[in-house]
Amino acid sequence: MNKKITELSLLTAVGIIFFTVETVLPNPVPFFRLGLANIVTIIVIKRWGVMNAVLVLFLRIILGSLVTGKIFTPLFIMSVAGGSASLVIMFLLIKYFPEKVSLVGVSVAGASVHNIVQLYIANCLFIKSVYIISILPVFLFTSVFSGALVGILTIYSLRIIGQKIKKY
Amino acid sequence: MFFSEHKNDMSRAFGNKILYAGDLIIILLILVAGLLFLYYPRQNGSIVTIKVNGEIKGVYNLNNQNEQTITIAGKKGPLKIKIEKGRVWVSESSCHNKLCIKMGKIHKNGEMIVCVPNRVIISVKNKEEKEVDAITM
Repeated sequence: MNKKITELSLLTAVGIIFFTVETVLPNPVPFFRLGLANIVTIIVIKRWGVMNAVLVLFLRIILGSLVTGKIFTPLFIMSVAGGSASLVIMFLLIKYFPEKVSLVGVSVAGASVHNIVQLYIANCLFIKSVYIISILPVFLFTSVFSGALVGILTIYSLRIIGQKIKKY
Repeated sequence: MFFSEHKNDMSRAFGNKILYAGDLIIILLILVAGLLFLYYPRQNGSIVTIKVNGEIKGVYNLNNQNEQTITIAGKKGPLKIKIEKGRVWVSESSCHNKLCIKMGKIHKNGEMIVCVPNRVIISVKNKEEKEVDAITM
């Protein structure tokens, strides 16, 4: 039990750091992010199951938004919606296609669903314009690259965590 | 180090299999969806809005029969915008890379020409859309 709490808190903290750094760093394109915090979500799904991943995700978004001062802004709502949708998709892929889809595919699917839902929410909430459709392809193409990068990093991190944990 | 354990297998990294057929299917589906949205059929627009530095400098009717030439003062210098036969394009620009001229003629709802050095945005719309004042992220 203590081990679980320690690991989940540590992963949440890492997630908040990624979330904050990505929000604070200047973006070339609005909304565009690498999605490094997704590494944490996948690791928790893999190691501790989906319910703990939901817990870590919401803690990360709420605390991360508090840190960056964006709580209850449109960005916060978009993060919650996108994060939940991508969590569901990634969980389903991990659960039902474990031998057919690797973590790269899982993370690419998660990243693109995150982007689609985020843009949809932005469209409903405040932009209300056809520009959304013009931006969507760009987001889908970039999510393939960022998702693949995040997937490879996740595989590597899971392997390191697996080796380190055995020693204690 | 990257492919040390399985030298001839590009689908492996760090000794783990990282590419299954399923991954390729997911990536293909996303790329196809992206292409579909890229070529999403859009209606023709009717209104041209020209903005400089975020301020609206002029709203023009796209389907005007007469040829119109509008000269706009951008940040770097003048910009000549032509509207003819339901299309709008930049014919002359004071910017160095001339990307706005290369973007060609536009006429569909939601399309836009952007000249970044001059801070000029020319967009085509169907009708007046409600716009937000500012978005904070």
